[in-house]
Amino acid sequence: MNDEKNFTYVDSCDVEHSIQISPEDLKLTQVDKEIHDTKFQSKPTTFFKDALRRFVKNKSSVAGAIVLGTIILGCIFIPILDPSDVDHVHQYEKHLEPKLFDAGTGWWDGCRHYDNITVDFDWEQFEKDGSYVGFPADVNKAAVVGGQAGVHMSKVGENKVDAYNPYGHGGFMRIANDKSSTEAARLYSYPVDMDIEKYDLSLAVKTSALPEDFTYGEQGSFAYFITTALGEVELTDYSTNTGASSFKLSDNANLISMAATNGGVLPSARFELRIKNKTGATLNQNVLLQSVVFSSEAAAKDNSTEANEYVSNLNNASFKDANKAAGITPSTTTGETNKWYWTCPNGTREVYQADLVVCSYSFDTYEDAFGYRYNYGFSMSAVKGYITKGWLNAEYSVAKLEAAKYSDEACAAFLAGLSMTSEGDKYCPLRLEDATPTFKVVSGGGASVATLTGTCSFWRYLGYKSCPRYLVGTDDSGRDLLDYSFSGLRTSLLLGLVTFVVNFVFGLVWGAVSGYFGGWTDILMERFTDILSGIPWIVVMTLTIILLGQNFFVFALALCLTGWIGTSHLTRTQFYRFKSREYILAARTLGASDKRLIFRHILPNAIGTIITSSVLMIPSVIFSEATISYLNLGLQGMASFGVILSENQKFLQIYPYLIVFPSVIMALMMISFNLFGNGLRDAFNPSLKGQD
Amino acid sequence: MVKYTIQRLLLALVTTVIILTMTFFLVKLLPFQKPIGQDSAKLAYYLHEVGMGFVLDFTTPQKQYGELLWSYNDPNTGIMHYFYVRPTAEQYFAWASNVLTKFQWGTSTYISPNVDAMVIIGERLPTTIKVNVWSVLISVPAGIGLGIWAALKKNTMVDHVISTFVMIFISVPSFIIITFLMLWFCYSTGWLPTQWPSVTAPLATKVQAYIVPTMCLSFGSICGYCRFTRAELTEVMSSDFLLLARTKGLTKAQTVTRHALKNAMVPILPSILSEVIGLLGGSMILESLYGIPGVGRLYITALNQKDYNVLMADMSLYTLIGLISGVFLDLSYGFIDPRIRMGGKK
Repeated sequence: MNDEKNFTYVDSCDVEHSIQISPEDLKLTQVDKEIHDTKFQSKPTTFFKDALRRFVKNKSSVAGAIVLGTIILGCIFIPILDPSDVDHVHQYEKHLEPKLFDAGTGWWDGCRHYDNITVDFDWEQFEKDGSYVGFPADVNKAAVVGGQAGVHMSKVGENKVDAYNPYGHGGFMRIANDKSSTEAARLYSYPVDMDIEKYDLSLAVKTSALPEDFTYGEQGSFAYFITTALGEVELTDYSTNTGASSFKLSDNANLISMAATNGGVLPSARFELRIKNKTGATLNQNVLLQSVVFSSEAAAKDNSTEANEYVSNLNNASFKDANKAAGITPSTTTGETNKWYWTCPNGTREVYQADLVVCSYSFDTYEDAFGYRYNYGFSMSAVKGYITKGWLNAEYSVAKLEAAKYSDEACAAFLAGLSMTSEGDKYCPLRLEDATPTFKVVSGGGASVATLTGTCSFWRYLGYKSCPRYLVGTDDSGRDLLDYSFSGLRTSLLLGLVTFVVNFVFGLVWGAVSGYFGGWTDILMERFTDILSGIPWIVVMTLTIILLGQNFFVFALALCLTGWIGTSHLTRTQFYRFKSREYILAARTLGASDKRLIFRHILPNAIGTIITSSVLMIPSVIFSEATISYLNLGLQGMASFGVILSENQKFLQIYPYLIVFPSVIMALMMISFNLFGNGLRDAFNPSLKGQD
Repeated sequence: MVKYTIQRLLLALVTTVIILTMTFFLVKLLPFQKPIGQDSAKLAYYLHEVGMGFVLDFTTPQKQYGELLWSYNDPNTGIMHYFYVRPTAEQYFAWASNVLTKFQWGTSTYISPNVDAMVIIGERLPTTIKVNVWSVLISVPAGIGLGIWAALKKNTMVDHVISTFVMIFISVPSFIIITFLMLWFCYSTGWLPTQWPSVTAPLATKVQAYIVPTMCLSFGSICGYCRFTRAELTEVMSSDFLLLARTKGLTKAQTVTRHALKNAMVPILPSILSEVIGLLGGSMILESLYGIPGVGRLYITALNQKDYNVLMADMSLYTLIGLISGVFLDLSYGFIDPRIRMGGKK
C-alpha cells in the first residue's frame, strides 16, 4: 500500500520505533448522525429552590423559623382555642400564679412563696407548752400550702421589732425623756382605788439589764412612785434602778399612813415612773420597762365579785406584755376598755425589742381564689336556680317555705330536706358536706327576705366546669396571661405586617424612581428623605399619636411616616447597580419603555434582596410599638404586646411572673426573627453571607 | 475636604432648621397648656409667654383671636389682662428670634413652673452623661476585644459562643434586658438598689445604682462593637497584603497588631465616636424604668404632663444629637483615613 505512512521516533533509551498508519485507521464516524444537546442528568432547579436549599443548610435560621412559626401559629390559634375571656376584667381571678401541676409540687404549681411574713402567733399556747401554732397574719388559712406544717416559723426570740405590732409579744416599753426639757418624763396608767388594808398589795417592776446603747444613770436617773389623789410616795429614790424590784405596798409606812386618812384605801392610785435629766445631759435617757405588775394574793383568794373586779382592775393597771400594753390607745374604742392605756407626758413611749414570729410559706393562689368560702351568703333566687337545674333536691319546696314566710320551723324543715344530686356534686356552688347552711331572715314591710349562709365552692360559683388552671397565670385584671399575650402579639404582628406592606410598596416606588431616573430627581428626592430621616422616630411617633389619637391606624401611619426610608435607600442602591448593566442597555436599544425597564428588567433582579432585608422591619415595628407603650402612649382599647409589657412592668416586684412570660416571648420572637431574616438574606444573596 | 466639611455642616444646618420648624408647628397644633398654681405664678407665666411672643395680652376682651385663655385683674397694678393665643406663624418667628438671639426656649408649665426649659435640660444632662460615660468606658474595650478574639478564632468554638451571645443581646430589646437585670440583681437577690437613689443616699448605694443601667446600656453596645469589629477584622485578615506580610516572614501576631488591626479600626472608630454623641440622648425607657433623672426621662415626663416647651426643647436636643453624630460619622472617616475622600468625584 503506497498510501501508508511510516513514522519513526527514538525513545529515551535510544531504541528506534516505527509506526505505520493507513487511511483505514482514520475513519469518519457518525457522519450521518444528528447530534443534539442531551438533557442534564441532574434535576433542574429554580432560583427559589436553590435559595431554599441554602436556607435549610443554615441550622440556626431553620430553628429561628420554627420558633417564629410556632409563635405566629400561637397568635392565631391560642386566642381561638382558649375559651377564657380577655376583653373584660375578672375581679376574682386576679394575680393567679402560673399553674401546670397540682399545688404543693413546688414548681409551676400556682403557689406563691412568701418570706418574712408576720405570724399571727398563739403566744398563750407557746407559753403553755412551747409549741409553735400560728398562721401568717391576714391570709386565707386554707390557701397556705401544707396547712400548719407548711408555715415555717422563725424561733421565738430570733426576731425582734422596735415598734408596736399587733402580732408582737413582750419586749420592753421604752420610755425616753427629752433632754431639753426641765420637766421629768413620767409614765403611768389609769388610776385605781387601792384597798391596801383589806387586800395585801404588792408591786413587781422589771426593767431590762443594761444594753449598750442605752444610757441608764449616766445622763439622768429615774425613780418609781405611787401617786394617789392624796399625794405621792416615792418607792425608790433617784439612784440607779435596774433589773427586777418588788415592793410590798402594805408594808410601806408612808402609804399606810396616807391610806389611813381615807379608810385604808388609796384613792386613784397608780404606779408612776419618772425620768429626770442630769444638768448638761447630752443625750435623751431611755428606760426599758419590761413589766409592772400589781398583785394581791388576798383578793385572788377571796373570789367574791368585788374581789374579782378588784383583781381585774389591778391587772389592767399593770402590764406583763409591753407590746400589748403599748397597743392600747385611748381613741380606738369607746367604753370601758380603752381607759387602761399608758401615758407618758414630757417624754416618748414606744415598744422596744418585742418578739415577733415571722414565717416563710407557700400560698396557693388558686385555693385562695377558687376554694371553699365559708359562711357565704346565697340569695334564695340563686338557691331556687340550683334546685331548678337539678343540682339540689328539696323535699320541702321553696314555695312552701315562702308560704310559711321563712318561719323557723319551715326553715329547719327545708334545710333538713335539702340534698345534693350527683350532678350537683359536680357543679353546685352551695356545698352541704362540710356544714349545714343556715338561714338569715330579714323581715320588714310584710315581706321576708332570706339569705342562705353556707359553704360556697367558688370555682363552681363562678361557673367553671372544673377548677381552672392558667399555664402562665393571670394579670392584674384577671385575664389569662397566655391568651392575653398572644392576642396582644397578634395585634403587634398585624401592625408590623400592615406597616411592612405600606412601607415596602412606598419605599420601593420612591427608591425605584429616585434610583432609575437619577440626576436632579434623585438629588431632590434624596434631600427629602435626608430631612425626614433626620427627625428622630420617637419624635415623629409621639407627635403623630398625640395629635391623632392612640388607635391602630394612627400607629400604622406614625410608623409609616419615616419607616419607608430604609426600603427606599436599598431599592435606590439596587437600581443604581442594575441600571448600567448591558442587558438594560440592550433592552433600552430595543425600545423598551421606562416602565418596562423598571418593572420587567430591574425590579425582578433586585426584589429578592430588598424583600429579605425589609422583612426585619416587622420586629423593629414591634420594638417601636413596645417603646411607645412604655411612654404611656400605647394603643388604647386594644391589647398590643407593648401595652401588656408596660402594664405588667408595674408588678415587677410583687408578681414577677407577669413580666417574665411576655418578656421571654418577646425575646424569643426577636431572636428568631433576626435568625430567620439573616438566614433568608444569606440564602437569597450568597454574596452577602457572613455580613450582619 | 474643607469644602466637603462646609457642605455637610451647611446641609445639617438646613436640615435642623427644617426639622425644628416642622416640629414647632406640630407641637403648636396641640392645645395650649394652661399653667397651674397660684394666680401670681400664673400671671408670671402668662407674662413670660407674652414676652416670648406666644401669647397676646390685652386690656380689653378681643374677638378676632379666638378663645380667651385667662383674664385676670392684677391687684398690684390694677391693670386688667386678657390673654389670647397668638397666631402660630407669628409665634414661630417670635420663637425663632428668641432661640437665635437669646437662646430662650420657653418656660416649663408643669415640671418646674416658670423655669427655663434649657435650665431644666441642663440639670438633667449631667446624670445622663455620667451613666453613659461608664457604659462607653466598659463597652468600647470589651466590645472591640471580644470582636478581635472572635475574628482571630474564626469558626471555632470561641467564635460560635461569642456570635451566639451577640446575636441574642442584639435581638433582645433593651427594656427586656433591664427587666431581667432588675428582677435578678435588685428584687430576687437584693444586691443592688431597685431605684435610682436620692441625692441624700449613702455613697455606696449611689455607686451601686450605676451597675444596672451601665450593664443594660453596655450589653447592646458591646454586641454592636463586637459584631462590627469581627466583620471588619475578618475582611482585613483575608486580604492580600496580610498574606504578603506573612510571606515576608512576620509572625501572625505581628501581622495582626501592625497591619490588620490598624486597617480594621478605620471604620470602627468613627462609628464609636458618633455613637458616643448619640448616647447623650440617654435611653428613655431605661431612665424611666430605673428612675434616673436624666433627659430621657424628662422627655417622658414632659410628654405625659403636656409640658410642651420642655418637650420642644428636648425634641430639639434629640434632633441635634442625631444630626451631629451623623455629620461626625461622615467627616471622621476622612480625618482618620485620608485615603477616603468623602464626597469626592469619580
